[in-house]
Amino acid sequence: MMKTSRVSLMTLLVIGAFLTAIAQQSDFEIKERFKQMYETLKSDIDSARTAEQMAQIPNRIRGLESEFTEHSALISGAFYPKTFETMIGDLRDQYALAQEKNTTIQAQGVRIFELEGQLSNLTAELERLTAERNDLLAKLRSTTHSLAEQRELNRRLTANLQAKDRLVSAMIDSIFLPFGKNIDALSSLEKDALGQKLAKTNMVSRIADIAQDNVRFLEATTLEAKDYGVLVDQYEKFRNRWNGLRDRVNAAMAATTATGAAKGKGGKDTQSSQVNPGAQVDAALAEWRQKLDHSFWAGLMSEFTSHGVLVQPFNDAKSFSASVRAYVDSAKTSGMDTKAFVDEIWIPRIDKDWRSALESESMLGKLEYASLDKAVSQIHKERFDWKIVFYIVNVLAIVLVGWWFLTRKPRRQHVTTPTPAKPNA
Amino acid sequence: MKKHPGILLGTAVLLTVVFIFPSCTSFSLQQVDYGWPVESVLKVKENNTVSEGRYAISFNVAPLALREFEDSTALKGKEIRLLRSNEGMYYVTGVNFKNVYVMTPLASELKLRRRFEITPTGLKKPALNQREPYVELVDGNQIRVLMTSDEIYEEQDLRAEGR
Repeated sequence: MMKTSRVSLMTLLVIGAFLTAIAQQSDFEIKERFKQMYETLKSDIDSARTAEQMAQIPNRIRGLESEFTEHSALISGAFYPKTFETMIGDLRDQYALAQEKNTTIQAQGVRIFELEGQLSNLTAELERLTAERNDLLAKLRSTTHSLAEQRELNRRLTANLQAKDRLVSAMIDSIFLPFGKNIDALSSLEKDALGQKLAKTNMVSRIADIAQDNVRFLEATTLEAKDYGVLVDQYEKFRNRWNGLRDRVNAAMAATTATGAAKGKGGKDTQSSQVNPGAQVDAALAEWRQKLDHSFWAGLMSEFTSHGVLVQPFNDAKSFSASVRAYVDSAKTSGMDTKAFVDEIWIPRIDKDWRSALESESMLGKLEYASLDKAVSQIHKERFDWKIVFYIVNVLAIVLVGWWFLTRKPRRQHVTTPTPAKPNA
Repeated sequence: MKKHPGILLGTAVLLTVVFIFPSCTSFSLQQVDYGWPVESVLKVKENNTVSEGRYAISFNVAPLALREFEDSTALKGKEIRLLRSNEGMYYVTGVNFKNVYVMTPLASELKLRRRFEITPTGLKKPALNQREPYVELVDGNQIRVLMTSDEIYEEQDLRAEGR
């Protein structure tokens, strides 16, 4: 049995009073209960969005404080270096920040409403442009139009695609503007809202549609050299814009998917298709690039074959560069006639009509084009033009004839005067 | 003049005490408070050890399990409750423990100082609280005792004796 020591009466009375005064509870439990309530409150402050939710927070902080004030020393010791007072102060600071953030969000709500109206107008305009595009593509595919008509169709369709591109960009701006550029700084609720907005406007499909429109356009039409400058520029701008957008779209859509999964919404298929929503655009962009490359390099190759100039076949920037350099090297060593290459293809066609497209970074780039142009200009200089000799000889002959005429001495005329006859003596 | 040898001896002893003895006393700091504000609830690992992160202490509980349950592995995966008193003793107990162990820290060792037998049926929901200068043990609403490293005070005894 328990061994109890005998202590003085005074000590026993003090201890007895002490035991009676304190309720029988575990300090550890008090600490754990405080910790749990504190963490829950922190989490609720972070996720509070409505005015009603926010209004409850100060009362809950006060409630926590009053409930645990008598244990403040215990809590301060248990959560060292934090103290009970600093922890309650942290909650109040967090609430103040959340309140400020919510005020900003409410102000943004008005702006969002305006932007949503704008978005609706943009969507209607986009539908009109899509219908116009379908009409133009159908006309382009028919063979009953003249060359001039085809050029006009090409121009209108290109303008249509550019307008659609601009509209979708404006829609994306309207969606992202209220949320700011840094998606990592958004709360999960904000990410979810952004993702839902993107899903509701079919934004990913619309972006992919622009790339697919361009693929259809490239398939339906025959382009001229001058057309490629605009098309390559359009492709590059679209690609750069998408590269800046992809991660944000994926993060927002992923947040929506996660929320949907957590709520038990959406089937397995829906979730799996949303794992990488940007993949749809990536695939369309890759196809656009492939079609553009094929059309571009085939068109450029035909410039050489149509003039009967034999160059190594090429189908991309690297092989084009190698082909031109091989031709230049060959011309230098063999001394073959490069007149057609330089005077009929490079100067009037490539340097004039293809240059803007070739100089773009997704094709050759400015540096490489300049390098090729320099190499071609060298064989041009090295070619000896006998016409110059002919002209020089002609000029020399004229000068000599002129000189001869000017410097010749007039021939002295011998006049024979009759001698007087001697008189006969 | 005749000198007293006793006086000379006394003076020598006095000088020794005054000048030499103080330099031989050990140097120490006083009023040390080792007390933890709250007990730690530690889970016994597979290797029969527990470790407390905040106060950086770890030890093997196999001898404790052997002593309490006659099975050195009885505490594996279970929880023990550990609290250090203000004077620096470690109080150890747990669910189904019949005793509270008061351990003295030594070099790489916790040595048993006292074992307080609380209940022959084992504790159901024990908790150790710091109640300076005591350590309190509560077990639900059934048991409440106060302990020092040498004494234990039981509530009903106190009340009975408090009259």
